[in-house]
Amino acid sequence: MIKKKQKSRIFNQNQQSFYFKDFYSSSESHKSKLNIIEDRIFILFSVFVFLILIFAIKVFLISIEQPKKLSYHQTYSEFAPIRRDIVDRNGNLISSSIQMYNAAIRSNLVKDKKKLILKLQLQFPKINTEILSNNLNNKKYFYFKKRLTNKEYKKLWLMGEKGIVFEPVQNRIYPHSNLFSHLIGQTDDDNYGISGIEYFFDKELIKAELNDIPLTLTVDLNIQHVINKELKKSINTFNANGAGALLMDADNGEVISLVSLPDFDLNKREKINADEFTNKITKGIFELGSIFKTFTVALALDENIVTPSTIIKNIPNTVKCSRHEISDMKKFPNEMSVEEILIKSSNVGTLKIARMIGQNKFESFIEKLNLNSRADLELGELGTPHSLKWNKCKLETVSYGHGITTTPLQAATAYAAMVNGGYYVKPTLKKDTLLKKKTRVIKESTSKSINSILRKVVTHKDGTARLANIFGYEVSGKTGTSQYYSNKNKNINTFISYFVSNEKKYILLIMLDDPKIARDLIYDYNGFKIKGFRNEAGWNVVYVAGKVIERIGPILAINKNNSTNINVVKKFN
Amino acid sequence: MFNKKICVSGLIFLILLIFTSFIKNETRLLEKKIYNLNHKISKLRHELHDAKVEYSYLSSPKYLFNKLSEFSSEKYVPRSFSEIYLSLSELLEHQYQKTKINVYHDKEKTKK
Repeated sequence: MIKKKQKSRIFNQNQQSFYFKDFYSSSESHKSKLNIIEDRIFILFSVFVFLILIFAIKVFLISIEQPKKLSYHQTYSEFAPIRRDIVDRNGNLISSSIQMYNAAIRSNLVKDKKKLILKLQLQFPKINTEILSNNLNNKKYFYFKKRLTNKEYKKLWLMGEKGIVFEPVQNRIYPHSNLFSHLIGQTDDDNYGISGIEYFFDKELIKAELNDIPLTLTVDLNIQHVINKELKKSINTFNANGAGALLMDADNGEVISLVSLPDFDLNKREKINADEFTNKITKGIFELGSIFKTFTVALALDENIVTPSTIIKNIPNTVKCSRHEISDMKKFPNEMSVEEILIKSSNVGTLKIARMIGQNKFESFIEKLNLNSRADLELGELGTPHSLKWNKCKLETVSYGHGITTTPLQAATAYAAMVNGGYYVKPTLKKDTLLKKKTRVIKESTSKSINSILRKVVTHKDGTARLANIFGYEVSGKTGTSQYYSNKNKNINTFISYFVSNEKKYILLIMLDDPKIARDLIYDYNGFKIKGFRNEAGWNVVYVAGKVIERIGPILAINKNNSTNINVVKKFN
Repeated sequence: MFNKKICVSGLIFLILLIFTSFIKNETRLLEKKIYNLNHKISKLRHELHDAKVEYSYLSSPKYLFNKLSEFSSEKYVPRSFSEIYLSLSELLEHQYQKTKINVYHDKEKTKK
C-alpha cells in the first residue's frame, strides 16, 4: 500500500516533467482527493487489523488459559471444615466440625423493638430482657445467641424478623460429650484450640492440605468408656472426691485411656475454674507414697547392692531421722528379704536399702526416670512437681515416696520402664508409625526381678494388692497410700499395675481422691466374703483396678491386629 | 490488492477463530456440568459428614448402654478372659486335648 502510494507520487512528479501542465493543474485537486481517500482507507484498514490482532491475542490468551480460572469453583458454597477431625485408634470420631449459626440483631432494621423483645421472650424465656433492650437501643449490631441448635434456629427463623441475622459459623462438636473432656479440650469462637489436644495440635489441626485426613489418637473409645464407668462407680462405692485412671502400652508409651473425674461436657461452654476439675493424671501433683519403693528396690538391684533374696537385718520398728520419726503401719519382723520388704511395703526396710544406695545415685535415678521435672505429653495441661531439695533425711523419705511430688503420668511412665525390660519410653497420645525413642534406665535382668517381685505383691499372702489377682492377665503392681501434699487429712490412694493381655504389656494406674471405708461392700478375699473395714489402697484402688482389668482385658486381647472377631468364640468349659 | 497468501492465512485464521469459539462454547457447557456435579458432590459430602457425626453419637458406648437398659431387660455380663479363644489354632488345640481326655476316659471305662 505504502509502496503504491509512493509510486503514484513519483508518477505525478514525472508528469510535471512531461509538461502535462494542464492536466496536472486540472487533475491536481482530484488526485489530492484520491490520496486523502487512500490514506483514510489505509488508516481504517490499519485500525481493523489492529482490532483483529487484539481480538486474536485475546482469543489466544483465553484458549491457553487454565480451566481452573474459568470454572465455577468460587460460586457455590462448599462445606470445608476449618479443623481436621480427631479420631481414636479404631477410627471412631471424637471431635469434628459442623456448620452452625449465630443469631445477631441489626437494631436499625427492627421496626418495633418492644414487640421483638416480647416475641423473643416468648420463645426464649430465660433471656435477660434488660440487657436485650439495652443492646437494642445502644448497639447497631450485636449477638443474640451463638451456636444455635436446629430447634433454636427454626424458632428464630419462623419469627420472620428482618433485624435478625443468621451468621453461618463452623463449630467443634464432641459426640461423646464428657468422655474425653480432660483429653480433647476445647476451641474458642474463632476455632482456635484453647485446651487439651485441640490446643496442643492446633497448628496441625488447621493445616488445609491435611483437611481430609483425621488426626488419629492412641486412645480407645470403648476402653475409655469402660474405665470411666468403673471409676464413676468407685467414686460412689468409696465416697471419694474424685478419681483418675491411666492405661498405657508399656512398650511404646501409647496412652490408651486417660480419665480424670469429675469431668465436664465439652459441648457446653462453661467456665470451669474449680480445682476438682484439674486433670488429675497429667496436672495433679501428688505425693504418691509407697509406689516409690519399687524404684528404690529396682535401683538397689540394678547397682548390684542387693538381690531379691538378700536379707536386710536389724530392721527397727521406728527410725528417727532429723525431726521425723519413720515407722511402719504394721509391725514387721526385724529381718526381711528385699523381696519381702517390697511385698509387705515396709517403710523402714526400704529406707535401709536407700541408705545402702546413697543419695547421689538415687538423685540421678530420679532424674533419669523424669519423676521430678515437668511431665511430658501432648497436652497443654501438664504439672511440674515441687523442686526437690536434698536436705537432711530427704533420701530416707523419698525412698518410700514421701517428701517428693510427681504427677501420676510420670509415675506410670517410670513403672513402664521398670517392667518393659528397662527402657524409658516417652508417653504419647498421637498414633504414628514412627519408632519410639527408648532410653535404657535399668538392666533387663533387674526388670525381670522387679516383675517377679511385683507379681508377688498381688499373689503373696502378705501382698498388699491381692484383690487385683485376675485370672489370665498375670497382674502385678504396687499400691500407694499417702496424704495430700497440701492437706494431710485427705488421702490419695494409688495402685500402679502391670498386666499382660494377648502378649501385650499394659500399665494401669488407678487413683482415688480421699476414698472412705466402703462398709457396705463385700469383698471376695482369699475365698472369704468380708465387709469393708479398711481404707488403704489395697482395699479400694486395687479392688477397682481388678474390676477394670476384668472388663478391659478381653477388649485389649481382641483388639490385637492378627486376631479377627471370627475366631473369638466362647469356651465350652 | 491482496495477494493469495494473505487471503489463505486470513481464512485459516478465521476458521481457527470460529473453531476456537466453538470449542470454548463446548468447554463452557462442560464446565457448567462439572459445576453442577461438584455442587452435588459438595452437598453429598456435607450430608455424609453430618451423618458420620450423627452415627458417632448414636453409636457411642454411653448412648448404646442407655438404649440397652431402656429397651432390653437382659443383663450383659463381660466375658472373662478364660472363656474366650483368640485364635482358631487355640480353639483347635483345646478341642484336640478335650478329645484326647475323652478317649482316655472311654478306655478307662471299658477296662473297668
